[in-house]
Amino acid sequence: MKKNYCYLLLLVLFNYDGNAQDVSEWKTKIGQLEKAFGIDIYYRDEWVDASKVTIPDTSLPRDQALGAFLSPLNLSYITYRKKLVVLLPDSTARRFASSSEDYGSQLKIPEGVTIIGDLKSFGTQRNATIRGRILDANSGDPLVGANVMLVGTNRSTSTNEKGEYSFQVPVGLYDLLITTVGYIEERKPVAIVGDGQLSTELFDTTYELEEITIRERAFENNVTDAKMGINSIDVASIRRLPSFLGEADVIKSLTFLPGVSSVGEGSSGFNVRGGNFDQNLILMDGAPVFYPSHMLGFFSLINSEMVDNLTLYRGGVPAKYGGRISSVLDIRLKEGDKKRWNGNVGLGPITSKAFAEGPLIKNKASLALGVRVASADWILKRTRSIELRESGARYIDFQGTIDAFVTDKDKVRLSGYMSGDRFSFAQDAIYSYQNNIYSVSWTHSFPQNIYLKVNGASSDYDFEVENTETLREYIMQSGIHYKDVKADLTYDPGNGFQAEVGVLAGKYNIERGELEPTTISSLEAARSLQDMNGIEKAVYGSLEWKPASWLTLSAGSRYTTFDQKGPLKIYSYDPALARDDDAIIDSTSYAKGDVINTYSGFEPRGSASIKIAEEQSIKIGYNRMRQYINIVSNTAAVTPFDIWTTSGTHFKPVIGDQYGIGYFRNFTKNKLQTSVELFYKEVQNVTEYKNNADLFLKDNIETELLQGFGRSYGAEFLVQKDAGLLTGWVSYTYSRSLRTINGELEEQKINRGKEYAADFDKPHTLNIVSTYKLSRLWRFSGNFTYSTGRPTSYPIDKYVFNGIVVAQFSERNQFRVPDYHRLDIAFSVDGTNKRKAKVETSWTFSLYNVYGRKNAYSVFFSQRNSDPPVTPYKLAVLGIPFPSVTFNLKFL
Amino acid sequence: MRFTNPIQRLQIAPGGVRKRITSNLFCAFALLLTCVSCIEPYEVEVPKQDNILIVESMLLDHPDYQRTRLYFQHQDGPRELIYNAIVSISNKAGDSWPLVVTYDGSYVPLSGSIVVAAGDEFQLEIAIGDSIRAVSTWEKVPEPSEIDTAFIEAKYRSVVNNRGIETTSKGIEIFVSTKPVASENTYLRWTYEDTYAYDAPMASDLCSECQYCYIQEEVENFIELAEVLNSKGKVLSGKSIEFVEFDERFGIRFAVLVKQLTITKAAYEYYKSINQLNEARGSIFDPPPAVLRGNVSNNLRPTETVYGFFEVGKYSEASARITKSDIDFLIPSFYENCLVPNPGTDCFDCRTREGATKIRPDYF
Repeated sequence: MKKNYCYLLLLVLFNYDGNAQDVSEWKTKIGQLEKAFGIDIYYRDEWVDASKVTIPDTSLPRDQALGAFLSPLNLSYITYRKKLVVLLPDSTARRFASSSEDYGSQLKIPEGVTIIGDLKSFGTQRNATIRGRILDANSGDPLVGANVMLVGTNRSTSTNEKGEYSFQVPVGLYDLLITTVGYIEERKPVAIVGDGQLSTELFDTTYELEEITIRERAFENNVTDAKMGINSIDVASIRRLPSFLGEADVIKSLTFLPGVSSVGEGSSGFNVRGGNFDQNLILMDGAPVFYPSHMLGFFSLINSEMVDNLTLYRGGVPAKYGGRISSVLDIRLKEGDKKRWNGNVGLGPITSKAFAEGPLIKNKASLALGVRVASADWILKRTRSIELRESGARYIDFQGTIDAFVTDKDKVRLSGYMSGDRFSFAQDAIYSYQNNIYSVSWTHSFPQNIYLKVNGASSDYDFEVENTETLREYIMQSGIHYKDVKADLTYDPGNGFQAEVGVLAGKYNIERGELEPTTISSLEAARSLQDMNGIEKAVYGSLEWKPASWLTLSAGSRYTTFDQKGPLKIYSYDPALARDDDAIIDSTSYAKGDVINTYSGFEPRGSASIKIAEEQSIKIGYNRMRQYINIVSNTAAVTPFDIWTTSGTHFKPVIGDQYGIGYFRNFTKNKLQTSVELFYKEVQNVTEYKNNADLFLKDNIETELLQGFGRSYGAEFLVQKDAGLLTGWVSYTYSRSLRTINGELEEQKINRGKEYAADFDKPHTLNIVSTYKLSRLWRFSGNFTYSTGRPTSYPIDKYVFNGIVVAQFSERNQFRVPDYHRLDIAFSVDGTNKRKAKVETSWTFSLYNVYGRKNAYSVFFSQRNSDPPVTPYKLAVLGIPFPSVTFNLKFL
Repeated sequence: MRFTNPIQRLQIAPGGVRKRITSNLFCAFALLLTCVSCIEPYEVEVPKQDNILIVESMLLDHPDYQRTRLYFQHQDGPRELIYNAIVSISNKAGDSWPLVVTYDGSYVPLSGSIVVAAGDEFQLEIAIGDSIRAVSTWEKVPEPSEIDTAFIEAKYRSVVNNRGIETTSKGIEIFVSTKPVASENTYLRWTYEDTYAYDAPMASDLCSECQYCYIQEEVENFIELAEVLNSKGKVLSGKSIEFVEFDERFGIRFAVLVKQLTITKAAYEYYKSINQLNEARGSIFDPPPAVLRGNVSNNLRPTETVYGFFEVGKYSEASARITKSDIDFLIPSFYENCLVPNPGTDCFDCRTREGATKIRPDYF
């Protein structure tokens, strides 16, 4: 309020200085009124027609006197804090009146109303753009997905990943309501007089509702936003879900979303809408993550404490993202508290962690730092196996961000991640892998609502195994290294129109593997695979606008090119033969820097949302994505030693086209959200491994892989409840993922060229995620998940050949492992409900796989001597109930 | 007849570095989680095929290994030897060798043996009735890689069972060393036969023939392979190919004849796939099982898989032996096995023991 008052004074000074001569008579009369009633009057001189100025009657009551004096001038007024009177033309006042219950020419701004906009320009604008930032009052962190709405109108928006919002509204008096999950809602009466800013802070609350939510970007936006297949996930709610060994897992929690699945427990990676795991782009502050797991897949790479928010785009991928055809998982790391230092420590059965954040320069620069240390050694020491007692499994990761406002309009962010995994088996071998992921970004706000963001990223993944077994001593290394720089320019006037353009240039270097014997007596031969190199470039543009109140459109395109670069020796094969070492007829060597192949193409994207009734809409969308790098793997799950390869002479880029249509309907003021989405996806040049392929340390890997056609389709149903004692969602997905590999030669076909189910095809998936608030402190959460078993091949015969019992397996994926289902529960208690507590404790008691179902990861056929040959066995990775207790101590 | 435990072999897995990595990673990690992973029998109903042709065909530079056996695999039944096929082997030079069937169902060259020289290419052709005209791909004889020595050591070793639990067992380990390898990339397969001396504990003094015999065993269900890359001039030294736990067979003398086959890359891949399928433990890191196709196909029914392989290569052998005095461990005696209510006939007459012969093998 003070600010506004000062501002008004400045405005008045300006007016007096600039117009002293022309309106001296008018000013005298205004002075009389001010004196008589003890008020200050503000106005713009150009509104005054001097010929119509009359003598004020100061004997009348104030309002009458002002009314009589201003009426011939076609002016009205508003009163502010009883002493301030602002004059305004009648036309403007009517607009105010129409948006307020306070009718009439004697329009008043009630006490406590925030004026938004410049009073100087008051009356000149019919519509005003309001923008601002919504922050956490305790930490100063931006609140993402907070809903900002004008009560009684259909105007609303939600905050972006920086906590910013903007929208365009007619000038007038309103109640601005700001809500987000887990925070006390804020209702602010505002007088919007022109373009302006309103930022506010919301208080976190431990006793208010804390729902588990997945959001189509908050509340009613799931209906109005043009894009489909987008889920933002509230990280705080992930922490309250039951978790395996007490470690909240941001990536594994994605598998509860419709259209997302995984191949099994303990497996790294996830599958989105029938896509392979290497078709997901995982971005951590803009830098790609190549292997997202610790301890071989049981834990995710990312420390949930350090995550601010994550958004999964499984359809409707904006043009600014590209490089993978199935999905984009955009993880934004936490921005440190700019006001004061706070932190927390957590203890779990395997993982312990600490987190701290605070200002480096108060209100200007902040730091957030998280560290996790995990060791399973103490469990291994208690096993019966001598080899395991001598084994070890550990990981450590550091994650940090530094954010600084260099000027009011420039912000810089540094983000870093380092992790190391070490796994030793007996005294035979040590496996280790590291992720080093860094990014730096600079954001600048230009006038006219234009923003520039420049981001540089680097991501390195290195794997090493050191084998010390007698006669087989060796070291083997592989890795992938990536660097990019990108720039985005956004124009966002806040009226529903948004335009964005950008460019990207990225460089890949893939070390596919090098094996060195470490002793003279080692039988292993030194082998070194050629590196793969490539440059990916992209330029993109997108538009979003609302041609009508019921229609939101979004359109864009990306144009990408990929250069496969030398040095590389490429083999040519006899086209009449299946690709094999024996079919090599020639080879061509390229020097460093040579461009071997160039691929390019457009990636158009578009979507529309048609509002068919209140809280109801239909959306349609189309996406094309191109992918230039692939994992070379023939396992269903991602492994730490999987090697990537680039598109090139023998592998064409993978191209995915996705079509979607959805019906979205909310109930009870958007508290209950429902949706049905249908999708159909076609993938050209999908890469599959040959039967019994040996991909390990294979230089000309093209002899082991085939390319073909893939398609997937499905329907996703979601019902979500955000408010009340019971919150959560139910999602059901029916989807299929199919492949056809039908080359000309018999060896270039899989399943003789017929369509077959992909390794991760799981037609039915049901997820129920819920939380029930038992009391102010206690909360109960439960998840249930069911999915069809994944496809596999079974022996259809067995026979003896040269004294060896051979299991003859079926064609690929003709059978399925048993269906998967699991129930997890958790009780959690937050030890305080005080808003200004110094310390907060929380306990989570989790039980994973409550009824101990031995879910089959796989069915295999043993040749153990105690069995008849080819006896089927089922392998369950986590076949017992798994309790855990996690303690968290938060310093505020 | 003896079944070799593939889990034991896991510890001496051939060439596959990847397999080594995956096996270790998985078996250890499954246990890492306090034995929460579990493996249990599972019922699977799958439709079976019928009347599938199995081809067991070898063409090595050794007369004993120039034979072809053909079978029909019946649904859920034993395989049936085929006697009525017309079988021949031809080379790229246009020579053809018809094979004739013997009493035991083996098809062998009609006269003498076929000269199998490195670089020669051979093809197998089979005709059975009106429905089968099977033919193999052309298989090129590789450069030979000869075995130098075989030797045996008695030792302790740890084995990891199917649940990943380590146990210790005592036995002998069989090793081989090769002569310098002749070609750039060499693919080797080993097999072996063994003979032990048997003393029937309850043989009657009246039957002099009944007391001592040699018991010959051909190893079954055994695949030991090596892929030696960039191998020219290299010597494979002290390569362990098998571990055999001590039992009564080591009570007097035990000898092995190790046979080293230099095979084609295709044959190596075929055996490796069998090995991979047989050793699959369903782990997260295991490659998925897949249909196995050999190098023989039926031209009349190209979509039908013909099981088996036409294996062409070079042969070389070496022997090794161990006597009781070389072994410091306590060996169970033949006598213990006969101290049961109804002892087998071989307790009284060594000749009734499976594989028994009175003729001493050369390598014994």
